Amino acid sequence: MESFSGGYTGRFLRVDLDRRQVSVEETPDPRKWLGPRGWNALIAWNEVGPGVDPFDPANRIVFSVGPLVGTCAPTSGRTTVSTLSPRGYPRPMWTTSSMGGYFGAELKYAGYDGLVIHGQADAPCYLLIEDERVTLEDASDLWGKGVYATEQALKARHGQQHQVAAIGPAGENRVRFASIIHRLNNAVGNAGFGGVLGAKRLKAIVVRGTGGVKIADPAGFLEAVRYVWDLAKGGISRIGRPDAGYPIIACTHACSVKCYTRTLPIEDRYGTQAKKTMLTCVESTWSGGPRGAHKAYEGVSVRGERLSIPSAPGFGKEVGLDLVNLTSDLGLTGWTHATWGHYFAALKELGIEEIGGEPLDIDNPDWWRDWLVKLAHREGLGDDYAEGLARFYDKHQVGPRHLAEFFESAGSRGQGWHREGRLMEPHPSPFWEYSALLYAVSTRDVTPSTHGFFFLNGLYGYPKAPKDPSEISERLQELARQLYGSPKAVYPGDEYIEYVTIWHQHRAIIKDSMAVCDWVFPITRRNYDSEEEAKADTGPIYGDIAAEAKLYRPCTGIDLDIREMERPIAERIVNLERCIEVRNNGRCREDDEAVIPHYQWPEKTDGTHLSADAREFRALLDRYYDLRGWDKQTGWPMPEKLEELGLEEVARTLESLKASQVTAAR
Amino acid sequence: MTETVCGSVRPAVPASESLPKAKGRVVFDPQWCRTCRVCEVACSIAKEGQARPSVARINILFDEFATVDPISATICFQCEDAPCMAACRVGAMTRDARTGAVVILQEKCVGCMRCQKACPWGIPKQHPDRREALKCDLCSDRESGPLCVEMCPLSGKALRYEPDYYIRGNGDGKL
Repeated sequence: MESFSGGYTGRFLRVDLDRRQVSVEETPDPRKWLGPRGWNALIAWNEVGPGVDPFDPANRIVFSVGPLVGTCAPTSGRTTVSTLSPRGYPRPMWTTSSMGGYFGAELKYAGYDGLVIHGQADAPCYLLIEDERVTLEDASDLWGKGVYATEQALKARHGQQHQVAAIGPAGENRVRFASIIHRLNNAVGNAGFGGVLGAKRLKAIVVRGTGGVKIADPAGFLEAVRYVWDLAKGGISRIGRPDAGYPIIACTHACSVKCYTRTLPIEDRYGTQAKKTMLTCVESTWSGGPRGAHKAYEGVSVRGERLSIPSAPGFGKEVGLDLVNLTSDLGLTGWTHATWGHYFAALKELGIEEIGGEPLDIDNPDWWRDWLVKLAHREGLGDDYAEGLARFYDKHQVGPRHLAEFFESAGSRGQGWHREGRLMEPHPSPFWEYSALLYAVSTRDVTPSTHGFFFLNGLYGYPKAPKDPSEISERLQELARQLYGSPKAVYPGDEYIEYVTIWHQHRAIIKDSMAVCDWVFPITRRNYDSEEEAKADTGPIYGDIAAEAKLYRPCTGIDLDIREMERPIAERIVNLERCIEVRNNGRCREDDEAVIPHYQWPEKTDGTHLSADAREFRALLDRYYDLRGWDKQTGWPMPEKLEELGLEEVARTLESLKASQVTAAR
Repeated sequence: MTETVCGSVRPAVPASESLPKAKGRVVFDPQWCRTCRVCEVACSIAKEGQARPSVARINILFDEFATVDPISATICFQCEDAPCMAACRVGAMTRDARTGAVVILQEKCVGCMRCQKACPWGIPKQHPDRREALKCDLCSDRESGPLCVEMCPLSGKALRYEPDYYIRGNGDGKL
């Protein structure tokens, strides 16, 4: 008997491209694995062992949709995608990304909780899912085309209500930061998953579903939706309603909150076949001023190295937005400009005017057009750019190493450093310490799944970086107590960071498993209809961190509360994801400590940083491992912890791995 | 199909004298719609107990590549002259006395889809699993009005219920 009465479909679609076979299997137990993060990790553990390269047929790519996807739960339409990330550095690693749009809801309506793809097609094809009817179709006419031309051709062929996720030339050519794009700019963006589909010769996935998502308790569910919407309506700013502000298009199915994701008309001077673009966050570096939307960084590290980084050159709304669309149409991450643009600008400031005989004409948008097209097709030097900044630097070593590593390094797992108080927005202590610990144990840029702690440091957080706890407002301290169990969580320094980090890691798993938006969930702070209302309220600012569970119960009929979702379920999934890295890549403490050099650069506003020997960070890592039940020497989960979480088989595998290492050492 | 193009082609079929008159309708404004599609899900939950746009009596279409009218809705206008009613051969369509909605009596409907063919905008749709036509009944069984309007995050703007739309003299064919 099924353990749920709504939300899930209980069916998981498997596509084997080698044999051109499609099958349906049972969704892994929701009570044990909750949703996408758990299912995807389980598939990796069972099917993607050591030695598999992201571009091998043996690699799996999993598209999963959580129990709330397809319903009207606020922001719930997200698709959670996992695979071996080609962008992982110094080596590829299993990781997770996600996208909004209509794709996930449509997959659910077609009758599936998820889709796992493996193998490699013998010729370019696309996957067509129409409810029960699943076929591989010839894509030879689409191969080489941009994302937007591909989407439009497939919608014209199959219907406007069919949803398409596609790769561009970048994915086809296995660029390590190629995206999978859906609609205008919904993207499985930053982890290079586009190249995985390219290697499988899968140009696109087209899905149309006419089924539905059962709701266990319709009246109770609608009541919960109303309650959570009222808590969440202010979106990322926490103030206002969706009828105020920007001319937004909901970036995801059922996203009903205020946002600054904008859909703007463009001229399309670069011929992408789209006349508008969707602008979210980091892409706005393209459309900023002549020297970008973000300020420069200047600093001296504890090692005595200096950095002076001008902002990446922006091209204003007109040309800048055309470049945003070109990036998406080629199937590249929206981060492309934020990392490379800063790097090139800093090189020019050092007097380096060319790379490999090619001038860095970075103030000319047409130069960027040519650069993007070349790297997406791996032409000439573009073949090396396509490897990502970290690998490019290893080969060409243009400029000082510490400059390149300021943008992408082993510590950022090969992705662009995100919210860490240096390159982007200020992030005074203790917020950058959260970031450091999260990156230490991650397999990707951590921010897309843990914006939550950053939001404490906003309107009701620090007006400016405090030097002393006495400067922190009482209501923020009270909020920290309610969320994390101690006001120390918002004191400068790292006294309580391990607790906060673990809480946010668990909440990221829950968020991805529902799946809902990271800009909104967990709902840590209350929302206001207006600035006036916000200013007039001097009381507690706590939101409701149980919101996901309040939606989950009436949707699925499964009686799980938020604490059980955190422990043992999310804790189990964090540990399994860790064990995948341990087994496949030998992930250990040394890898985690790769974040240290980056955080030895001063935070851009309060000047705080790790010391030269990073003893405080090593002590913090000890405390984190202790709290997690991981071995302090190796950073591996202890067998007792894994057994406690019902991961006995995983524990045995790690034990035999340890034994074989000991034998090898002898 | 957007509302702006709908008003100009209304056919002149007289309403039956014996039935209640048209009163209200749901009005959609693409200028405010954010395309979240919560209305579709709310409708299908109200009517069928599950989130299922294919059986929703309102649908939103967002064509991200269209340069004209990228956002449109299909929802019944509850016309005063209601050609769908005139077309029904099995007496499966009537008007709700309280709301004036044109409603399908599901137990009588045989799914012949004459109503859809008669509607200038083809609004009534066939149930994907059953031989049965589906259309908006303004949630006539709900005292508080249509659930889609209630759940719309921009309720009153993107979607609004005007219970006296036709009584106010809007029934001149202009929408």
